[in-house]
Amino acid sequence: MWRRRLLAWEEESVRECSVLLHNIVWQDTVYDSWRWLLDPVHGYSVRGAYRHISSSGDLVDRTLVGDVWQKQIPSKVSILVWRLFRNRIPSKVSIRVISLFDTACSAGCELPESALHLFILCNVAGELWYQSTELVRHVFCAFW
Amino acid sequence: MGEGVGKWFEENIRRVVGNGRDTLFWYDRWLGDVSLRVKFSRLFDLAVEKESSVEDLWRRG
Repeated sequence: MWRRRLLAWEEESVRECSVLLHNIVWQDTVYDSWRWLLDPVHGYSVRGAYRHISSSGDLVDRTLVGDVWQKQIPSKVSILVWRLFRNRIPSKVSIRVISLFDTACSAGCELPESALHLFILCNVAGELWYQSTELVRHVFCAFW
Repeated sequence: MGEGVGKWFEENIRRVVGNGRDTLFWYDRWLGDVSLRVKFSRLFDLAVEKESSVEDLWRRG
């Protein structure tokens, strides 16, 4: 069982371990199972886990993303905003970490394409954002 | 999985031993808050069979 003879203090550890084992009841007909500590009665649920993660605070920066996960907001929008705030947008600057692409902005302005650049600073992208709101406005005007 | 993701999950599951056949004596957390591998690290180093089930060691006494 052991690779060599145990020293006195190691024997003491074995005794300490045995004491713990004495308190366990051996049940031949019962299978080993998992217990979910957050809800030992009903077991694991996605809802319970979500509640735990979103209330524990240390995993999610609530000041940034607290309002993103609302039922009324389409999930693709929530996910985009969440990725943006955590700098997980696959801009060229982010992708460079895992590939050999150059980082020049895809819109052609030659500045590094970071999330900040794409959403705020880039003139070309800014024009696109503006045009798309114009488009929405036109469509709504046509309908109403 | 990211480190943060793995932690909250692992910290909230425990093995509940019945017949001990499907629980690893040293690696699983079934007795107290940490695995016996962590609690008795010296004995774990000295153990020959590190992947024994709880039942294996029970039978051997």
